[in-house]
Amino acid sequence: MNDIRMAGRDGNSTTGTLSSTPPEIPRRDFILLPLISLLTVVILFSVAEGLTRWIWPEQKFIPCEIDDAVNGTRFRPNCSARVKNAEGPWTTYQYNDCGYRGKTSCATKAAGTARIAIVGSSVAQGLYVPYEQTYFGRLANDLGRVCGRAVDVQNLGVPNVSPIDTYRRIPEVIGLKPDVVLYLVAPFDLEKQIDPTTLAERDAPARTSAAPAATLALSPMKRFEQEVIKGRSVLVAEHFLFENKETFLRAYLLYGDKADFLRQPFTAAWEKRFADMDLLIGGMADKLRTAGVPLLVVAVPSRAESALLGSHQLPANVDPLAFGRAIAAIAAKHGAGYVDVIGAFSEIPDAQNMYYVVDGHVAAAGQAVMAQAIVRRLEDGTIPAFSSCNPHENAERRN
Amino acid sequence: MQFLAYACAVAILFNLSRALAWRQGVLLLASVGFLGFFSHDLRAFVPLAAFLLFGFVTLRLMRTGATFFFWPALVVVLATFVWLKKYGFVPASLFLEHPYVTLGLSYILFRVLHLIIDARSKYSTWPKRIGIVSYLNYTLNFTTLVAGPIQRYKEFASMQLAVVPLELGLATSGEALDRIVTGFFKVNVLSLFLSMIQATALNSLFAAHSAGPRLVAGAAVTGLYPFYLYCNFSGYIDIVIGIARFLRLKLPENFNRPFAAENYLIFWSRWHITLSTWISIYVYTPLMVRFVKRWPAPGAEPFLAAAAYSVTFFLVGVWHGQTLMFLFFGFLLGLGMSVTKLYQAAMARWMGREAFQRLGENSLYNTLARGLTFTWCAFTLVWFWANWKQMASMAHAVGWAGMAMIWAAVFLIGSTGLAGWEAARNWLLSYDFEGQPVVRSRYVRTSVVTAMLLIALVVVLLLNTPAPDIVYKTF
Repeated sequence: MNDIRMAGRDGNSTTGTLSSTPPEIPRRDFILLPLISLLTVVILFSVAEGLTRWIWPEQKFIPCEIDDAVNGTRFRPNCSARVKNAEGPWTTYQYNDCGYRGKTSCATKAAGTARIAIVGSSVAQGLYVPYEQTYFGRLANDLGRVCGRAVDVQNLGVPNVSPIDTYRRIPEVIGLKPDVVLYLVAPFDLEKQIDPTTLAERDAPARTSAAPAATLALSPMKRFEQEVIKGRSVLVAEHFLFENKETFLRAYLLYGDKADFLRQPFTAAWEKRFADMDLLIGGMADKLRTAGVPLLVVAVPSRAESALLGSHQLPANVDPLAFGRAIAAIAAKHGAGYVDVIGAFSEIPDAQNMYYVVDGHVAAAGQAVMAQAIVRRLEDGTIPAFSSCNPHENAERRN
Repeated sequence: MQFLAYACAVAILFNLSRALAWRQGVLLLASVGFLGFFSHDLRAFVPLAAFLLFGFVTLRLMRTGATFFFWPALVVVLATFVWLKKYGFVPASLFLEHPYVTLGLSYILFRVLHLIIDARSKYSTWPKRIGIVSYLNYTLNFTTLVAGPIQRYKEFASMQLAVVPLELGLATSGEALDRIVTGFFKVNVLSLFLSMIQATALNSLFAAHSAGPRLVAGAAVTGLYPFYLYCNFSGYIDIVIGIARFLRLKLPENFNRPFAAENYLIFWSRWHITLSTWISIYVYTPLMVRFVKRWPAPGAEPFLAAAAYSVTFFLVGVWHGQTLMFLFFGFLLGLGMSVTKLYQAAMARWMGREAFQRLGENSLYNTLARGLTFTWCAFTLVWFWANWKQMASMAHAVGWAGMAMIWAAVFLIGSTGLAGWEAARNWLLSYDFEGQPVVRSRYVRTSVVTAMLLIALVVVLLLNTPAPDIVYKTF
């Protein structure tokens, strides 16, 4: 045991020991040491920010965005733009002759072609995902193959719009004469409470024009927050930290109201949001029914829900299926169909990896899952335009 | 962060006066207040208080010469510890039903045993009476309560009971802050990332479909844990050493670059140093004395030492936890120590002592020896973090051949990685400024510590604010 005691005394400590008689500090160090400290902070931040901006570039502004009197924002027809979030690939957005994301024209559909119209916010638009990999790009191909006829998808999704903006686009949707309308809704679409006056006047045709977001002047504090506090290096740090499911969930559940859609029973604020959605989905379903167009509501899970779906043990009162159940109940109440995308995600282990970690939007892999779930739902024969796509029914007919 | 804020408040209060009574009073109040964080129910502290009281009464009895009570008291202390810590072999029906606090009991045990054993010695230079405040301050000192280090009473008393307290100038404060920040960085950044990587590797070990990724994951799972444990534990020790310095106390070092050790004996002289020193004084040495008296043949010494190591380190394993896993952990520790001792004796006999010493200076031999020591450390620690079920699942996932390959990979990467680290460290330390290595100068340390603090704060802030979500980034 002497070996033990002797070997520990070579004094080669990694961290160094606290010396009994520390050296006196020269006067110059009273200025030098704080300066070194300050310089370290500046250099560290600059290098980290510079490197991360170089390695993880970002271009979120979509130059095709224009102000719209009805929904606040829409896109210039026949415009294209290259965008990228720090976590994803460069993506070219191509807008058709109506300003909808996609490659097919919005002109009168050709005979024999089935048309799907999609409404919603950024999730509906397939934000930061190349067209071929989006759920609606896959939908057109997969469904066209299964149905043996051309399927044209008109995507009216616009990032950052509220459910009331989506509601207001229904007349425009009806004008496209679609065979089915998909309304994609995610928990974050409901986070902002809808102003009761706006809700009451939801059928009023005009609204005050708002300045495009990109031209809004930022306060110096907000600018500091965006540039420094929420700089690229912090985003990258968050990306690597929150790739870990447990770390992400622990931090996500620190949210109060924002995360309350996961907690049961729902809070009064979330009950109010679902009540508002009930009004809006009910209104959409009525208008579409009058036009003879079926509505399918698609609840898309957030990354937190997907992470929870794969957890063996859920935190107390947390239910990742609660949001989907509430939306499904609203859809059923108004005779609209429901697409169980959350169920499809729950079948995949580590489904939280199918999202952009910090940005939170569904990435390419998750878009494939969404597409499969929607195709499966359209194949079930309940939507007349796609009833011939049901493989079982086709087999019976052949017999 | 809460602990640091609490310690900061205590340090300010402590330094308001240099009076002994004030310093004793503040430390006692701070230690009792610290315990208060863990339960607000006074009844939860009764078992701990009774344990401490029994220790104090025994200490007093030993100081008054009532040594007949020594062995019964020792048995009572150990039995009470085993009972309160709910060891697996104690019938569950004997346990107390009401929840109670056992925080720091493992370390309090060492301090109480040290006091009782040394108080009995007729050569003891301690004062005749050790007051209750000094006793409580020593056993409950909040800076060392949770996980050590284990300081000896004489050393503690020489600082805590000194009429003139230790100096705390600007340079000392700077060094203390350096230790706190270093420890904070190790705990909140390095150990956090290592545990995250280990957890991810553990998941991919079971999820991977081909042998290659499974082996990589297996090597990461087993090879990273020692580094995680080191950063976590030594980081905590760095923090408490720094904090204690602001309370005019110098705590003993507990780690000294353990992964630089070229054999397992040296490893344990660099890892949890205060534990191995304690156990060496109170278990190993008395055992060896008895063994040598019983079997005095000179050739028997290595075998006796091996036997003493086995018993000593088996007890170290038992002390670490209450389950069968820790009994096996202790067995492996003892095995490592004994085999190293016997190997040294055999090699010295076979090659001759001088030739064996020369071999110890060979860099290739040292590289391989360091790698083997690290691999054994990582292997024993599997019983520290995994349970039998997890081990069986891992064995099932990779197979026995896969297991062998994983440990071969840990050995190879450990050997080369640690050799590279040693070479880089020696190169860095070779540049001097003002009579000391540049990297240890206060200018470089200031820069390094600032960087560590900045990174640690960013990580802590990110983890303690809600995770980003879609709305925050979009609007």
